[in-house]
Amino acid sequence: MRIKTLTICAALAIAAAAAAYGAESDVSGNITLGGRLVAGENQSAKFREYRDLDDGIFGSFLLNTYKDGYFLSLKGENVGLTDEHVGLDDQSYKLKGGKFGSFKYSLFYDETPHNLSFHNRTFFTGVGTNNLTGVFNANPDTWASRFDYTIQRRDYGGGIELSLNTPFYFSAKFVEQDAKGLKPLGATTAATGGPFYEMPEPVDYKTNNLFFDTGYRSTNLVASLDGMLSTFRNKNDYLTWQDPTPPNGVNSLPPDNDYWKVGGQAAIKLPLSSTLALRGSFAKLESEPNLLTTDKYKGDVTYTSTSAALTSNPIKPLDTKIFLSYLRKDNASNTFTFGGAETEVFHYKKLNGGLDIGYRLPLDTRANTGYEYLKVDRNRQDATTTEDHIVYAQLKNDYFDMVTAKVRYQYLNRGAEFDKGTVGTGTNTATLGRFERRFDATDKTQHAVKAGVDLTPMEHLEFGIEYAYKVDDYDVDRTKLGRALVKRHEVLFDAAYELPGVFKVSGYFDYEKMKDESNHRYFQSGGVGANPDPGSGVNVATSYNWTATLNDENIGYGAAVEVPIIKDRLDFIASWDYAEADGAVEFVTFGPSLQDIPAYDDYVKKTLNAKAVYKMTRALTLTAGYLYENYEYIDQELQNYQFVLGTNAFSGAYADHDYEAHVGYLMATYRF
Amino acid sequence: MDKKANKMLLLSTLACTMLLVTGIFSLAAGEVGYVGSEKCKECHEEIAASHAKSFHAKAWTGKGEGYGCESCHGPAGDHVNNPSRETIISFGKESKQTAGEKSARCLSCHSATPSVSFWDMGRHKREDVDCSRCHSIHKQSRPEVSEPETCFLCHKDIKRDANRQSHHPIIEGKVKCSDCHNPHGTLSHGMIKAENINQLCYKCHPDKRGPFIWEHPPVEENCLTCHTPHGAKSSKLLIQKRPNLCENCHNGRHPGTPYDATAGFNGSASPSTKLKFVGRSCLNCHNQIHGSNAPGSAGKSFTR
Repeated sequence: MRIKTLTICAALAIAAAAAAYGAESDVSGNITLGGRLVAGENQSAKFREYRDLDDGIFGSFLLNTYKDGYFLSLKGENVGLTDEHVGLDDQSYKLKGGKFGSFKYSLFYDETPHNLSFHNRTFFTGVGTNNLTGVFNANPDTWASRFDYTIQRRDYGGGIELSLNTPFYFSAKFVEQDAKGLKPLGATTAATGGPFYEMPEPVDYKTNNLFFDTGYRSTNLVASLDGMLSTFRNKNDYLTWQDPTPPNGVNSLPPDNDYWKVGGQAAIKLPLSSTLALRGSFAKLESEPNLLTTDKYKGDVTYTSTSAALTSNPIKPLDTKIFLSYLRKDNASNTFTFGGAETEVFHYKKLNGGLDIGYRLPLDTRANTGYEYLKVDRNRQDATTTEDHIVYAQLKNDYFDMVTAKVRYQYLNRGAEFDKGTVGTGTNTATLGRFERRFDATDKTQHAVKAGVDLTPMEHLEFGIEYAYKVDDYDVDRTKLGRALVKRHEVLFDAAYELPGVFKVSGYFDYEKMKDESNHRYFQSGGVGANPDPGSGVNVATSYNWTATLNDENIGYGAAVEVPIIKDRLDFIASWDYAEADGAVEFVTFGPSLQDIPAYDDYVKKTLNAKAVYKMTRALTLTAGYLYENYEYIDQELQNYQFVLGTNAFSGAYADHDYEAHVGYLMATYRF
Repeated sequence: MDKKANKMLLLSTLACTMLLVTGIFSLAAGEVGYVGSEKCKECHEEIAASHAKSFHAKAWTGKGEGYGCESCHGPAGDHVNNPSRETIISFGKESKQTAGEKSARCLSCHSATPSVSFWDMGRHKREDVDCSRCHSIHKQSRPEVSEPETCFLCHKDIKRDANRQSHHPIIEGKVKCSDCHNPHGTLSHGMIKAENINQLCYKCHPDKRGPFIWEHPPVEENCLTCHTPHGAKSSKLLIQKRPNLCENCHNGRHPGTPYDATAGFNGSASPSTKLKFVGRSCLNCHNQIHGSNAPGSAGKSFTR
């Protein structure tokens, strides 16, 4: 793969150089080359989650050329090598070119690592394949396999756009996405229970996407047809894992699928400063997975959508928008009895429409108000229909040059229909279905307020502050079990000041507090005196009500400074960021006592970034920098991590969050 | 033709003639007020030099007199006589033009650009965000927006979310705002580049699109029922931590058991109870939560 990468780079470079060195070209750009050292306790996947930060050499380049109406741009980022490999895991290259008004082309290559968890282990052998074998033992030190959960993604492709100085255009783009690596998968040895093993699932995906778009464009009409063809292929249909008990475990993995979509749209200018926009599309998704049995499944899902919107500005202070859209998902997949269970298909229809009216009031005040309706019909007993009615109003004022203020209020009322009022026999677990709903498809009201002010009291001084409050109040008379209430407060503040030629300083602070209350019922079917009805008043060891309140708090603040130490020669730039999250769950029980959870995704992240930038000449800049990151994570679900819990085996997935890293670097940038 | 019609025709012809004559005399007298870019350079030398290196300037090379400063700033005749912001169309913070007026200058050419054709439908237009709020025209580089920095200037809540411990690689530069959104307007909510959320997410996550024999309806309907796209406190961009998130819908499982602090690795709960809480919680067993093709109740409950 690295050879492929280098070949692509070389091809791009040659193409760019050929253009750049043409006679009388206008060439500009830059090249950066640097070295980096990384120290500290940094062997956590979290530190390298989406980036390749190792000791080594790194660089970037940018080349822009113009000649006789032709242009070309070549860009490379995160180019380099480490002591382990040539080419960084997050490298990217992009070539763009063309002739103004006539055609464009592009080529790109982009890698993204997704490091999930390092230092993992399993008693299975065959890691990386779709066939794991092994025998559980309770001593993880003796387990056969050590590995990292990481997925490396590569996207590459290219595109063309043709218009040839006519009102007609055509564009096409091809993208291949490859993803390879391992991610965690858990399974119990018996399908309905038994010992649990966490194991590495092989990821070996290839997706080919072809996009096209063609149409006509003029000032008063733009009309186009577009489409997409996409194939997804997973090298592994199943993951088989073998242990003496049971002889075989088989997990289904994401199936191969084919997807295509065609669409058309138009924007038409009309009288009264009006614009009509239309769009329609049809998409089809198919899959025929190998089920390892004589059963056949032909997955066949279609999405049909139509949308229209009309905006109008009939008189200067008034502007309106009216919109309507309809989307339906149809599922024509075959249903059958599969392993003793009847399969079913899910489909839905969504109708959405609304009106927005904006009016410019005196004193540079703009008022907006509107109404929106959304109806979703589903072929589901538990969420047959939901209907949303949303109204909102917004005021924005920028009468004073130094102040922009905005306030918005929104109210949502959701009504839901369901058909599970008689499920169950009254004493079995299914009866609980009478009282629970999907939280996204149940009755609720929502109030949301948002206010913000941007202030520039003097030149080079800016402030901004925002406050938002949202409450979702679920109808607990109709939905007795499940989410009951969610409240969220948010504050965002930032400020910036510049004393030209002396320094720039900026800072920010944000705070968010979220509270989620939910109602639940423990119910042991067949238990003595057990009653599934949460309104029955029965609270005994075999059936009792309990509530959970999840409290999340997030705080972030930081500051940045930029000081020219020697004017036009030496700049010092530094920033400090602090982020803290605190989560906890409080229980109220009408049965056995419960212990609150004190740490739920708690973390503190500190980041210091400092660099000195020395401009040696107009073209050459030297930078010396230092990055410090410290991340501490505490969570009840991962604290005191153990690979073995009774007869259950974990692999260490996501147990390696904490890190402290020091990164020092030196780099030179040459501009031309 | 009756007398009344004749009269109307005569009046119309007269009116048209007067307009034409007035127009011709106005042009002849130079009242339109175009002065040419060279005149602008006399005072705005630095800006002109910068603009000469810009993408627009390169695109306009060789196109003649009609392409220059006044293409965007309008006729500068009055401005030359009376240099002030009131006498010229400007785009900076202290501009005297409204957002709509400023955008109209750009749209006079770019309304025919396919990706901008739904500008009138978008939220940015309705919020008085004009083109120059995001695009720098005079700079040497292409007028492409620096993402996500430019977007974060206004969308501070998104900036905050993108910096949370679980996030799409936005701040790492691997996912751009414009990969998912068209800031120039779409007919979709959130100006996303798809008809609905799921079809957008499936572009990069085709392994989640199925179709699956066993579907998880909220998953099929809207990825954002469980996930938040920019960043979250909880891993996997979940809006809440498991098992709380799952228990917000599912009570009749295990059955409605509260998983409290005793269910941690060192807690006093039984291993079978802990198993449903520690590590990846519900996903320890229900690992195919986006859909399954396995037979029987194991597939139906997403455990295989």
